[in-house]
Order: sequence, then structure tokens, then C-alpha cells
Amino acid sequence: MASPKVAVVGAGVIGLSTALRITETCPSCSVTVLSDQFSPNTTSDVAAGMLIPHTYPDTPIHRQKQWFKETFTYLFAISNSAEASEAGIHLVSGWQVFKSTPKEELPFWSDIVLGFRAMSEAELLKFPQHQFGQAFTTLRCDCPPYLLWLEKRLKAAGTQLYTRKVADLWELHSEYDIVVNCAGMGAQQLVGDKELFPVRGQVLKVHAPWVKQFIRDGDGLTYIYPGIHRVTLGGTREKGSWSLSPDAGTTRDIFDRCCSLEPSLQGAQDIEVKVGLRPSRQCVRVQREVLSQGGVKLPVVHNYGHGAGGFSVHRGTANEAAHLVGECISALQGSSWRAKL
Amino acid sequence: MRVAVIGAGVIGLSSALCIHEQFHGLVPSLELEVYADRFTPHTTSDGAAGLWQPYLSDHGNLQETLWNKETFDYLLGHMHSAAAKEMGLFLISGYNLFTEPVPDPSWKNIVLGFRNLTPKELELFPGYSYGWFNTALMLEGRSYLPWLTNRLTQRGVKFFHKKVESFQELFSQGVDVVLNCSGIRAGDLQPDPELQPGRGQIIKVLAPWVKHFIITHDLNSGIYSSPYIIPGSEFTVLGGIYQHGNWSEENSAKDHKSVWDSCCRLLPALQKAKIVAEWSGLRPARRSVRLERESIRLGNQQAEVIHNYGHGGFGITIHWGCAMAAARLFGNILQEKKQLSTPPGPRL
Repeated sequence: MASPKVAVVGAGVIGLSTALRITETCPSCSVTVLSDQFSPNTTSDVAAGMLIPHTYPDTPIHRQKQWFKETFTYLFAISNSAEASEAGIHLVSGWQVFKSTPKEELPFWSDIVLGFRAMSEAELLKFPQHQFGQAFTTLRCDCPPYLLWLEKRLKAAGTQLYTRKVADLWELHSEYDIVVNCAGMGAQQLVGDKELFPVRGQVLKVHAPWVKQFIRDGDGLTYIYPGIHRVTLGGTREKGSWSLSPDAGTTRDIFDRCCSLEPSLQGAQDIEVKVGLRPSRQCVRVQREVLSQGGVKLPVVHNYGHGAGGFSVHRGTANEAAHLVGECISALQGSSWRAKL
Repeated sequence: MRVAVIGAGVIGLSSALCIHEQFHGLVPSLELEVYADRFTPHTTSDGAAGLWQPYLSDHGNLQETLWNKETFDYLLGHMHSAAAKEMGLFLISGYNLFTEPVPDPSWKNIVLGFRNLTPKELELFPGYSYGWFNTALMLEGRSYLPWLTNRLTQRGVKFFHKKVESFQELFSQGVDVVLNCSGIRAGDLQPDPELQPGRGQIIKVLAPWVKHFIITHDLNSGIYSSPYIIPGSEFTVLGGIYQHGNWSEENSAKDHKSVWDSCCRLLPALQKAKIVAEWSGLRPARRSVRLERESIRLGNQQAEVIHNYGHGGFGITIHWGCAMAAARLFGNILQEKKQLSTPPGPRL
């Protein structure tokens, strides 16, 4: 197969990073990104983009750790280069605080982030309602810049990007050899995955440029993440909710919870409310599949279901998905060779 | 009781506030006045990035270490108030980098979370093999000085825009006590060969993705003569110039290039940062801070001067401790003049 034609469905952080990785591992591939939404209208644009992993209950920890490590290493190199500001990648330090000491004091990712340690007594004084805390430095992907940077890299590699709503993967079988499904929440409709469910998150993006540190409650519900131009205040985790409309009561509640962690936020200006549906699953689906219909085969690589942890593992799952695309190509080449006999 | 403060930088304004807070209730006749030829945003304090960080070594000057600590604790106590934003006060973490191991600084237990850098962190800074990470405070002059001015104005303190030529000038107008917070130009009021300019030049850029301070150290060339990057609430300050004895407040192209090149080497992402301003200032350097009383005989009167100047590149870092010490000296003066029956302090 001289130039395998690969379609990547989805243009959030997963779709774009997977497409980019495929152009790197398979330079002869012709890659096209198809999505009904592009930045700034993807779920990724709502996310804070922090590299703090979400733990997937059904994915082996070593695999999650590998994904995170690959992502962290990749972004670390970018953050340290002249491209950092264009790519929107930057280091940020801060605290994760717990109202009661967690069972697991050392999360699996503690040796991947920088300078991980328990907070000192003096630091905890700032959080009278919290007993225990962790301090560390991690990376952040600012969106839209990071997605726009990925799009730019893709275009430079000859990738085509089209706004198109794909209702059924079979629509693509005549134009493409392999389809990569990075449709996020869209995978529920696209491939009928009943294990995929939305976890609604509402966030506030505010102007508070004096906030240089992140603060996160270990319960994952309240967080303050400083971005390049705005600070993301969160949040909610509403399992099963599909509503994309901001809720005023929730806005008030998020603001109050964040102000109790960081009182200076009372002075925040220019509050923008955003909602995203985390495409959640017990385990991220990074998997090969060959769809079959009336004698026609369509190789598909799935890469979706990252829930609350998309940014944290995106490069790692992109690596795995690109590897699976490689396997699809080998399989196609093998069968086309056999077909010639 | 007329008290005149000379100087409206961080030292003058904070000393004035500290004295007014402590004594206006006890001394009904207290009248406080601030005299300066430069006010915010034209003072030396306005040019400073505003990072709380003392020099590497206190040279055995424990008094200054205590004043630094007092300042840090005082500011940290304000972190939870709604005033923090208005004061220009916020927490910030960052890196101090060295080319060889160094002893821990006197302030390691004052700041939060002080620790050595890990090998992975040092990978970010080629050429540096050792360093510290800690969380400290920023107190931006361009917010703090107006905040102090507002507090003082609310309290009825009067401001006079004029250059005071001598202490005598004020005493002959009926001032009882002078607080000399004249910074680098204290020598104009009373010669002090120990006071020398430590000239600095900085470049202000827009680099909002920088969330940490990064301060490098060259043990051979001395403090602040090695690149540093300090992100503020709006601009990031790039610096690394310390020229002892240089009185020029003009920006030098050579210094600009030195700062720009060295900071971009330190943080390659800065190459894309937009330069918005350049500034030169004179750190009022002295072997130690001059914080002491001086009684001046004027005819049959005794006039009192409290000197509070010579804070070098650590004025913001040490200001409140010094203001409190100046206030204590003022209390002593009041006692001696029988204006106070007992020194102020906690009531038993």
C-alpha cells in the first residue's frame, strides 16, 4: 500500500494529537482530520488542560502511568523550547489539598511530575479546612493555543482538515483505508458505545492574572488553574448530564468554593462560563477493530473515552493509536499481497 | 507632635503607616506629613519587580534577617484578606539557580516549602547544576504604593510634593521628628559614604505563560548581576544588572542586550515575548541598613531624626520589619518627650 489514506474523526486534543503522531510514525500516510467542531468549540477548549491524571478504574495502572509519562516528557521538551508560548505549554506549580488524609498518599504519577512532596505545616495554614496536601510542579496545555499549534503542525505535514459531521464510520470506507475514531463524546452515537457516558463539567474562566499557583481539592470538584490569560475555576462532575447550558446557581457555587480556597479571587473580573461533557469510560478505549459489512472490511482504531484525563495522557494514547494504525497498515499490506496470489 | 517623613517609596510610606497605626490613638496631637520629590509610579520601589527575597547571605546581620521574617509573616497574614489584590500581593513559586552547591540561605524557613531542585528540574536550566525551589510572595510596587497612599490619605496624612534640602528646613517649620526614608539620595541630606548606588536595569515584557520566578546566581559577580526573570500580575521583569557606584538612570543599550540575551538563553520561550518597557533604577546599597535615631541640637531644642534608609535590593523584602523598628524608635522619642506614659504594646 503506497500511501495509506487515514481518516481521523475528531479534532479535540485526542484527534489532533493522534493525527499528528500518525504523520510522524507513518510519513507515507495521507492523513485527513474530519470533525464537526474545531477549536475553539471542542470539549478540549473548555478543559483547563492540566497534566494531573485521572485514574481510570479498568485500565491497568502501569499503562496509565506509561501514557502520562510519555505525555509529560513530550510536553516538557516543548515547554523548554522557543515554541512554548505559541504551543501554549507552560509549567505551573501548586497544591492539592485534602480535607482528610487520603488512603493513597502517593499517587501513581508522583514521580513523573516535578518536585512532588507533602505540603508543610506552614503551607497548610493557608487552608484551615484541609488536613493534608501535596505540592508539585506540572505542565499545562493552554487552549485554544495548543490545539491551534497542533493544527498548524498538521497542515505543515500535509494533513487536510475538514469540517464534516460523520454520522457513521461506514461513510468513510470508500475514501479511506483506515479510520481512527477520536470522536470523544460523539463516539456514543458514532459507534453505539453504551459504556461511554458524559460527566458534565461547568467551569468559569476569569481574569485574575495575579494567581500564579494552582490549587486543587483532592476531591476533584474544586480547582483553580491559572492559564496564560485566564484562570479556570471549577467545577462540577455531573454524571449522565448532557446539558451544555451554563447553570447560574452552579456558577455561584463554583465561585464561592474557589474563593474559599483563594480569597483574592473575589477581585476576579470578566467571568466567562463554559460547559463541557467529559467523554467518560471505565477505561480509555485504545483498540483496533475491523468492521465488516457485506464482505467489505473497514479497519478502525479507536482512541476515545478519556473522561477527565484527556490532556494528561493524550500523547501516550496517540502513540498507542498510531502504533495500532501501523498494525492495520501491515495487515492491509499482508492481505493485499495475499489477494494478488 | 508634627512628624515629617522624607521619601515616598516603600520605606517612607510604610513607616508612615506603621507609625500612624500605632500612635494616632495615643497621641491626639499627632500630625503626620510625607515629603517627597518623587511619588509612585516614579520611585525606586516602583521599578522593583516586587519579589520578597533577601540576599543569599545575611553576613551575620541577624537583625536584618528578623526584619525580613517580620515582613514575610506580616504579608502572609494579609494573603487571606480581600485587600491582597489591591495591595498587589500574591503567592509565587520559583527557582534559584547556581553553578555549584551553596549553603542554605538564612531565609529557608521563612519562605514556604523550601527545598533543593531535583535532577529533572535542573534539566530545565542547562549550565546550572544546583538550586532551590520555594514559594514566596510578590508585592508589586505599582499597586502597593498607591494602596499605602490611600490608607495614609484616609488617615488624614498630608502629602507634599517637594524636595527637602535639609532636616533643618523641616525643623524650622515646627516639625518635631523627621523620618529620613530618602533612599538613594539620603546623602543629599547628610553625607554618607557608605551609601552607594547599585544600579539596575530591567526590561518589562509580556510573557503571561511564565508562572515562576527564576533567579540565577553567579557567586563571582555578585547579587543581581546574573539573569533573573520575575513574572508580575501584568508584566514579566527581566533583569540581571548590578553596577556598584553607577549613578546613571539612563537605559544603556549594552545592558539591554546583556539582559535580553541572557534571559532568552535561560528561558527560550522569551524570544517570542513582546517588550513593553525598559527602566533603570538605583538600589540604595549600604553595608547594612541605617535604622537609628539621631538627635540634632538646634539652639536650645533637641530635634530628632529617625534614619531608615540603605535597603539596597531588598527594600520590599525588609520594609515592614524596618517600619516596625522605626515605630519603636518613635515610641522611645515620645516617652522621652513625656508624650507617652507607657510604651505602646499589649495591655496587661
